[in-house]
Amino acid sequence: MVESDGQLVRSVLAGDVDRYAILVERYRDRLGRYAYRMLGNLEDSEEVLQDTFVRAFKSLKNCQDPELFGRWVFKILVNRARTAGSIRGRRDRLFVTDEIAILNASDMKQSEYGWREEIERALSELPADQREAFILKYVEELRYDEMAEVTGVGVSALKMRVNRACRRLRELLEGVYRE
Amino acid sequence: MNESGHNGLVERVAHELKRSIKIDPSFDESVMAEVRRHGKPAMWVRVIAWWRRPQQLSLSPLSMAASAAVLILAVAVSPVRFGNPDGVEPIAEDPAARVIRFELDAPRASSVTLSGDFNDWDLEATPMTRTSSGEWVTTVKLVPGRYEYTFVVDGDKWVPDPAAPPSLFDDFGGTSSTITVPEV
Repeated sequence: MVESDGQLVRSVLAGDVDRYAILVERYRDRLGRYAYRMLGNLEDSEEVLQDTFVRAFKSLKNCQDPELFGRWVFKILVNRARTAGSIRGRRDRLFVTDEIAILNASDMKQSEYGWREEIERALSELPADQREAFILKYVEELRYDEMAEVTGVGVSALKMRVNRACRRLRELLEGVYRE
Repeated sequence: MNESGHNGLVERVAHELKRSIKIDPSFDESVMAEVRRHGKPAMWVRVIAWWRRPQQLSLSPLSMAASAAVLILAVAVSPVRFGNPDGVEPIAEDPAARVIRFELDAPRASSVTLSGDFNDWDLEATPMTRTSSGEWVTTVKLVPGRYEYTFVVDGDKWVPDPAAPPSLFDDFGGTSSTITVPEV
C-alpha cells in the first residue's frame, strides 16, 4: 500500500527519519525540473534541491497540513531558487547551455536541438520574476491562486508577469518558430 | 504572428520545458546523509507526532475492563478538571528565542504582512498591526540566527525594511532585508 504524504511526514516526525527518503524520491523529479528551468544548470539545481529537502526536514514540524507536503516543499523550493538565481545572476548572467540537450544531442535531430537551445536561451533572458511566473503557469500548470500561494505575489501581478513573459518569448523566438 | 500562433508558441515552449530532468542517482542518498546528520526531530516533536499518528491497540476484554476501571478511578481522584486551563501544561518554548519587533512606516497601506525565512515566506502567517501614526508593527519570537525577510504591502508589493541592511541574496531587485538575532 502506498503511504500518503501525511502518513510519511508523521512517521518522520515521530523519529523514523529514514522514511523521509520516500518523500524525497516522490518529489525529486518534479522539483528538480522546476529548479533546473529556473537556474539553467544541473549543478546549481541539485544544490538548491538538496538545500530545499534539508530545510524542509529541519522545519517539518511547521508543515501545517502533512497531506500537502508536496505543495509546502515546493513553496520552499521556489524561494530557494529565487535566492540561488540571484546569486548566480550576479556571478554570471550569460546564457547557460542546456546540459541535458547536449548530453542527448547525438540522439536528436539537429533542428530539434537548435529549437531546444533557443528556448533555453529565450527563457534565460526573461527577468527572473517573469520566468518564474511562466514556468509555474505553463510548465507546472498551477492555477493563479496556487501560484499566488506559492510565490506570495498577488494574482493580478502574476497575470501581468505571465503576459509579459509570453510577449517577450514571442519576440525572442520570432523567426525561430514556425507553425 | 497571430493569436493562434502565439498560443501555439506558448504550448510548444511549455511542452519542451516539461521534459523530465535526470537527477544524479546519488542525489537521494546525499540528501538523506545530510538529513541523518541533523538527527531525529526534538523529543517533544516526536511525542506530539506519536500522539497524532493512528496507533494499533490490542486489548482483551479483561484488560479493557481493567483499563476502564483505572481511568474512572484516575478521573475521580484527580484534582484536575476538564476545561480547567490550569491543568494544561504549555509546550516549552526555546529558551534562546527573543522577541523581535518589526516596524514599517506605511501610512497609505491598507495591509502589511511580514514574510521571511522564519515563517517559510508565508504571506498570511504574520500580519502587522497599524498604529494611529500610520506605522505597521508586529513582533516575532526568533532564536539566534540570520534571517531574510520582507514586508508585503497591500498583498503584492515587496518592500525591504528601510531600517535594516539589504539581503545579499536578494531575488528581485532589492526587496528583502536581513536581520541577525545575536546569542544572548
